[in-house]
Amino acid sequence: MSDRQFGLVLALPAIISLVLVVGIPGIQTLIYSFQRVPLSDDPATFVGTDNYGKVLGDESFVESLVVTLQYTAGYVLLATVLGLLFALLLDQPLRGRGIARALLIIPWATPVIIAGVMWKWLIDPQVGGLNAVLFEIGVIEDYKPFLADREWALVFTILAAAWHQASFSALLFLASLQTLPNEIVEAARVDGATAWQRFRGVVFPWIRPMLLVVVVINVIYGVLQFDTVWVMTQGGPGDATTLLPILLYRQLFIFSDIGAGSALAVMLGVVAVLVSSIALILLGRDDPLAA
Amino acid sequence: MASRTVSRPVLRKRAVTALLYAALVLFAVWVLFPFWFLVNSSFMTPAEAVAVPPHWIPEEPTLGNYSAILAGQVAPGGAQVGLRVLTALGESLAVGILTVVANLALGGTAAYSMSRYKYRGSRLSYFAVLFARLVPPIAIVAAFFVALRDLGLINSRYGLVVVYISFTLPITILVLKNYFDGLPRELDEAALVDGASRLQALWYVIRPIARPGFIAAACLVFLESWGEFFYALTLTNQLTIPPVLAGFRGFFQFNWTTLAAATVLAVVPPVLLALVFQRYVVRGLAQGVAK
Amino acid sequence: MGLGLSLPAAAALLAACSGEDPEATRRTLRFVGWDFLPDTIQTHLDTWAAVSGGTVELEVLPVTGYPAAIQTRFRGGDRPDLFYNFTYLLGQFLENGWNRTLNDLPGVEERIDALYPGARSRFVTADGQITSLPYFSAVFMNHYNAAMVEQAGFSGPPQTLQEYYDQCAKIKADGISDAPYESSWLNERIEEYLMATLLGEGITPFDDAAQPVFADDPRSVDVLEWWRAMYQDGLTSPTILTDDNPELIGGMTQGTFAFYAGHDYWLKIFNDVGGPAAADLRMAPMPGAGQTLLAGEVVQMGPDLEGTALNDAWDLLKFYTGADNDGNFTVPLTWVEAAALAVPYPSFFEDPAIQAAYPDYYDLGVITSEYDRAGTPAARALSWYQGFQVKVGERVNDMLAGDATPAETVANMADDAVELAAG
Repeated sequence: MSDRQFGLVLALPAIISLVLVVGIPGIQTLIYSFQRVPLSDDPATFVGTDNYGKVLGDESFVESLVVTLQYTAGYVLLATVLGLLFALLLDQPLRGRGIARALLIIPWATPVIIAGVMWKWLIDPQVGGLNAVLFEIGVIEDYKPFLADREWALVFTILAAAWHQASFSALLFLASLQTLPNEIVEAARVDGATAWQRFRGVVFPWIRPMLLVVVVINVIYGVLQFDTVWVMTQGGPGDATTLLPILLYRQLFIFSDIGAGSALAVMLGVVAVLVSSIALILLGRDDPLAA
Repeated sequence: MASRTVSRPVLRKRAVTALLYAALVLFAVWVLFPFWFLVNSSFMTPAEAVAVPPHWIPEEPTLGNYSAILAGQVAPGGAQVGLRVLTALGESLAVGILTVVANLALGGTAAYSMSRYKYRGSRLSYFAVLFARLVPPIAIVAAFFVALRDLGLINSRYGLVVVYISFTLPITILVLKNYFDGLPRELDEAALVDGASRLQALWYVIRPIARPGFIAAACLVFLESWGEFFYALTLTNQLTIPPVLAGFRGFFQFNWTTLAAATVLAVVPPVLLALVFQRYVVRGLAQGVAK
Repeated sequence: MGLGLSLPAAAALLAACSGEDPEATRRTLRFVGWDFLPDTIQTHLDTWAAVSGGTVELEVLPVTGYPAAIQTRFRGGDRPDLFYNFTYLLGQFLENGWNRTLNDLPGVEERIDALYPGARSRFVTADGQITSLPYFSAVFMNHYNAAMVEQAGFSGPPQTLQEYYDQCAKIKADGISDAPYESSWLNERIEEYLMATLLGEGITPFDDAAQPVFADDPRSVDVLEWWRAMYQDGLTSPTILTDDNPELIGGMTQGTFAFYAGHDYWLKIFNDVGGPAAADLRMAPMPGAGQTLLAGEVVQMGPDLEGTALNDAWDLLKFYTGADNDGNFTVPLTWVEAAALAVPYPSFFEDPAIQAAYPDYYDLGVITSEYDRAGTPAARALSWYQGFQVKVGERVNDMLAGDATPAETVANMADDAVELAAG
């Protein structure tokens, strides 16, 4: 068997699995997006791009797209930067590092849907603790009803989800940092490089491939975010936190329009690809996946 | 004190250390501040949990929420907990472990192949893996339901494992490929020169060295499956812990304190697992360096 | 129905003629409910099984996500025999053939006739199809803090929307509460508040042809003017647009808010949780002399029942949603005891066991008089109405944010209804 064949055989079980569990339902979604799909046993009918027209023609789509992009930007930034900082910190030989790494797991072991419920409680102006703390340390002069405000509602739905996700990012960065040979860092240190220089010159290039992976994953999670926001605001106040997945939920389970819902799902995927690409270009590499 | 002079580099080092510990404290606040309110509420009666202003520690602490969950009693808020939380924790554990095993077997080989071998479509399959994560669960759950129903796997842990592969396998492959890319190719080449087969090189040389990567991927996959809500909601009858937790958010009772206690219990197993596996990560690294 | 013989009776007769054992069509029923007192549900199913000789299996899903979960099941061809459902899903289920109508079942007419007249349209469509029977019901009530109202110098709770506004303004001006009025104006619940307020003012929201005639009534604009003023003048909880169960319970029992408009079972939750203000909380009819909005959810029958299984399912459905064969409200009694949930039958409130089960702080005289004038627009059970609920949420939010006037909002909502009804 040639190397090529051997490589293919090794990858084949995973590829077949993904085709079965994602490829087929994904293609079905794509087909549905060009069809009118009755919920009864009647056959679906081809309607061209009507579903896309319907979704794009709805004014709430554009508003929701803007909110989704804002949400994703905040979420990716926060979850990635905090994750990187946590990983760098927990990679230092500090006392209590073991406990700190266990702490890292807590936000992430809290199911996202519960993280949403918890944060909503935390920021409530009456029963929540955040206002009390901010008031005590003098950051605010009055208890703030955060979810009453459109911008703050978006900020806190981002925070709640990023609280969970930063730990995920951190663990990926930690895994990458642990493969960084100590000698390289030491050599830089001996050469008199400052901490920042060592980070720029040695550590960052090493974890950069992982950074790209983390950013892509976070973009996808950001664009597809649903549970946290749903339990915190149901998309409110007004449509301040009505992300595209919430519109998708409405199309599929309230308007029961499988065709339009599928079209929206496809566009959600397109948005995720575009945002990922932009993020990767911003990170200075247009083709991150080149082996 | 004044007589003792401290050199500038030592001072500098102490300052850096102090800063790092300060950062560690901030990190702990980020994790524990929101979580504290959950732990706090879990030891409260419903009346105390809604006190205004909130209590920092329970004034009349109760174990009622925990005893309800652990002994199958009726919770202080009136919820009939039975042993459902414990059963669901067991199922979540089983689903998590099975998902991890499937992921490491399928994803480990695929990632290694994508890292080391070039074959027709190897780049394409890497892209495909990434795109696989883009399909919104809400859009494809109906397809999963039909498939699992035909297979008799509704409300089954095995059914959930199959579905969970759809969103965990892409992550496993991304992470492990990234990890393998960081391992020197000379390792495999040396093994091949020594007469090992390609499979032997993978199993006896790469697998032990890549253990930190495997552990990291296992952690990621386990926790992703641990907290997953939507599929567990739609494809099972509250089989795993997230839908059981969501069940405490009802219309007719106030079960926040029970939800808090159940969530605390739900966070314990992953944190314990992470603590156990941390030792292996370190040992795996040491072995890698020894070779 | 005009048929001398009901379907199950006919099936039994057929079975008897062919010499077939009626047990042949008997099977284990599947019952899907949501996560409220699952052990009690199981006990009820066991009780029924012991009496009837049938068998039934319970499947429990969380309330959070139940609509998505139950719809996914039906779309995937999985059709349980009996299931809880939300009223707003009734139209869609009927349209898709996901539930069996009950018209041909023996004794169903008696059940429907025993309902409060205003409750009928929940369970019977405009063209006479019986879709469901009650899991529970509730009436929309005004919960208030009697001490706060008294302190502000009022002799009792408000009787009109104007009084409601005035009392809130006075309570705020006197510094008794910064946020006198609380409700749960989450996007998908706004429609319920709209209907409750329209009905309270005596406005007919939809006519018999489900046309949005509220738009023709100038008082609809007044209702929205009131709504906007309450919000924009700062008389509501600042987070009223996202407040949910825990926030509003704490706010009422701790004395942060003076009023909470919502279903009548909340008074029991407030009292069960307790707090410094819990003892001051009372319940009064909603302001306005019109109708009271009837709320509640239902139990439905799946479409795949026949023969003895159908008989069993019907027997269990009757047992579960009203009086049993001995005339006792066995199942509803447990929901009263646990959470003050009712079923909308006058005979239910006349039952001494039920009366004894209600907490002392419930004035059943007030509740039954509200049931006497309770109703719900028949349009709410139509399949397009779910979409209308979303639209109402958007429209009212736009108005509260100052992007639309009350008059525009009324007109827009009417357009939405017409457009959605047209498909």
